[in-house]
Amino acid sequence: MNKIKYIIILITSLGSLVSCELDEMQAPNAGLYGSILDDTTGELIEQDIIRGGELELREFGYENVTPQFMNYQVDGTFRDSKLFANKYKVFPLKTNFHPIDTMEVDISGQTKLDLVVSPYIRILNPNITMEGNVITATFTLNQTGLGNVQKIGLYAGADKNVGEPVRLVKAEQNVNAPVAPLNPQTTYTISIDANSEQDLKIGNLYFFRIGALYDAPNARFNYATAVEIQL
Amino acid sequence: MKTIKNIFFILVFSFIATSCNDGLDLLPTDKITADELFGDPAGTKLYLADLYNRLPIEELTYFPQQGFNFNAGGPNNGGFTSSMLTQFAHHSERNTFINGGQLNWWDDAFKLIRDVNLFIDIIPSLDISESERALYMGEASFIRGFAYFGLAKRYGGVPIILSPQEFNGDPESLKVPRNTEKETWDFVLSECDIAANSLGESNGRRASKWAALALKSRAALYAASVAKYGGNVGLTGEAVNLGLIGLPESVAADYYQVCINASNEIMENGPYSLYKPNPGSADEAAENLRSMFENPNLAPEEAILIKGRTIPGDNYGNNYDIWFGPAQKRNGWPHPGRYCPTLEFADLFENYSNPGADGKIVTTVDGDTENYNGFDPARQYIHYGNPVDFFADKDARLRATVVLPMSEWKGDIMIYQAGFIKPDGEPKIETNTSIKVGEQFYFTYGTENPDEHSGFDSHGGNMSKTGFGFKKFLSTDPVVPGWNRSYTDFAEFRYAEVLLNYAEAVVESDLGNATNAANALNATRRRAFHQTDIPLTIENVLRERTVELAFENKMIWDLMRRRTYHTTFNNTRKHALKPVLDLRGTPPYEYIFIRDRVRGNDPQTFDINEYYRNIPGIGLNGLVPNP
Repeated sequence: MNKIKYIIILITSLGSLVSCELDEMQAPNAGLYGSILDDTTGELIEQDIIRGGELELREFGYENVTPQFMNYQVDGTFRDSKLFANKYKVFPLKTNFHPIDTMEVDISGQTKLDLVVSPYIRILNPNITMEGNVITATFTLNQTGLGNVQKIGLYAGADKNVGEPVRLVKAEQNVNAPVAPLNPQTTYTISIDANSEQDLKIGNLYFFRIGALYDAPNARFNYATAVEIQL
Repeated sequence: MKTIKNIFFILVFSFIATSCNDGLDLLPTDKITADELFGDPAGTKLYLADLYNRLPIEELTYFPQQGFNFNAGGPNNGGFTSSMLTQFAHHSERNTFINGGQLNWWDDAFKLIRDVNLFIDIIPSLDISESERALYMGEASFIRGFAYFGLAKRYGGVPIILSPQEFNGDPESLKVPRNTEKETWDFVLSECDIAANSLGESNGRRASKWAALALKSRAALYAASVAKYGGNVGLTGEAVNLGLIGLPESVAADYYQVCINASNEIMENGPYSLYKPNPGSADEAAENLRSMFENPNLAPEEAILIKGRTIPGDNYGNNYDIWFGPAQKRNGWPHPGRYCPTLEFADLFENYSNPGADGKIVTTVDGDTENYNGFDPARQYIHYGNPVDFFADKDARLRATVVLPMSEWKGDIMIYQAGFIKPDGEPKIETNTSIKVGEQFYFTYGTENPDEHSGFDSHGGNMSKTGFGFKKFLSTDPVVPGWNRSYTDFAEFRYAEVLLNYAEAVVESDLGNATNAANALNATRRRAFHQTDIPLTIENVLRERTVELAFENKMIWDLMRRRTYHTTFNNTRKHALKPVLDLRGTPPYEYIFIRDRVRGNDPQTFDINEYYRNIPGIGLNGLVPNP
């Protein structure tokens, strides 16, 4: 009986040791990183971290390839350091800049890819100030296309990832018209009264960001950098 | 001995060698052939009954995550219904929102379609009369059309398969590409036509000409809405470019006309009318409606197609009574009270004294209904000795659909209390505590024992978080504390929906007869004891549709087809109406109501890609994916 017990223990332990071996597949060891840059000013074009633009990657060598999607950081950079080394078709979707052609990128090791594009809207002279817990933002706009600017907004959030999707409070205005240079330059003013907002607690730190949305299919917001304000 | 052994083995081997020849040609003894099944009318009926059971009817066993007929043993899915994915209901325990794992129906859909196609193939060869053949064809078309309707509203364009596929060893030949969304809707409507032309006037619980027309009315309205409103959503991708999802705006008018014609046919020539269309009082109207949903067999004049659940038990019954009734009436069942209609829902019902507008519930003297900041001692709240009086002027359908705070249900008062205001003015809301004022103890939730109240207590997840309980479809008998014990029937198509389809189609397209549409809109209102008619506008039609067809698993599809899901849900929260006992001043103490956020509800945003479900298995079937 003892012998049988030991044999059983031996077999099960052998079995469990053998089963711990990993499969023979290689881990992904390549990556893609880069920035979205304004073709005129060379600055980063800010994005939304969720529900914002995406970079679609289609790997070569598969018949019905399932596309992968990369998100951007709020500041306009992106990085995915765990991709399989291969040739990819890269295409930015849901952009806040004029669409560009699909790129074919050979990703091996950490590959840099900068997108130099023309943003739909540039937010110029942004200024966010607070007086008596009323936050006021003033700015001017400049568009690069021929369509309308749909709306503008001031978004308040708890961290620097604030945007239209990630917000506690918003204050929006519809524009539905072209802005400079097609129309005369105007200064826009939007304000949020923290005293009457349930979600902005006096004494806390919040981030405020100015956004503008262009009227194009699947367009996303263009932003100015978020400003930190202590209420 | 050895030779005997050898002979024995040789004999055994020879037997084995010769006996296996016909093994693979044996006919199975546990299956019957198509001829045997369909040759007997009872067999055909059995086959059809199974097909009917598998129709995508979103009744009381339908849950968006688990799908249809979710009533096998121990169906514990928490009770998350599709209404909780809209702004009109909330779950008592936690937030829920639409995602890729919900509302799917693919594999079972195509299994159903294949089985209908098998039947359609065999109809010509059956030994029956021509009229019977036409009836069977009509019924099969109804089933196939309904199946494709379920697919089209979920996935857009899908492969239209008209005959069962044969596997001849080549898997590539089984791959069928998707048809465009327009082709799919046109196919649904043409199947409804075949059914409507072939079927008779009534056929018990089976499809009739009128059920086919009601399906046609619903499907045409769906397609028309997608055509009219689909363009402002901004979906992109290969599926959009190929027309596999989305309809051109130019076809909206045609589909609205189809809806108008189909609805009108039922309204003019059908044997249907509203159940008890002229009640004597609001209370009578409320009771009429409540009892119609408890048992649609009371209203054969209104119910066009009923899915029946005649007996309780696993795979037969449903679970609405145990999941959704107030906690006080759980009768020993551990998980009641999951369904919480929201303040948004209650706000929608018209007041009799102010018809034609949302009856937003005013709780303060200043009349501000946009302030959801909770209790504010600086504001003057309106006091009510009996909270039920607060809702006296509301459309009767509110109290037919929900359990109002401090109203009677199954012989007892249902206590929905969120807290109290202490005599010194400090609020104690949604926290478990008590206070002694004078000689009396007061408890935040109304009573000390959780078995004696139904709201706001986090105990067991059994209490309403919104201040409203659920009443529609529930039985007035005591809850049977076991799975699948309810057997409420469900009217999938009823005349009220046809009227409201007609009204919406007319107001959206300016086709059809506007007077008839206004009458249709007001007929369901008069049935709820409204005495003044309201004009035919899109707001009125949509409001009427929501309050009349509340919680019948239709609201979520209205949000989908009209493309209002993403405009309704953009960082959107849901709200509650909290009854609070005001202990300030002198007794008798009265209730105030506080418009507030639902505790535990977070802002929700709808992703436009959720307008279409994802097509499963595209690696194998090679279909173009949805965005």
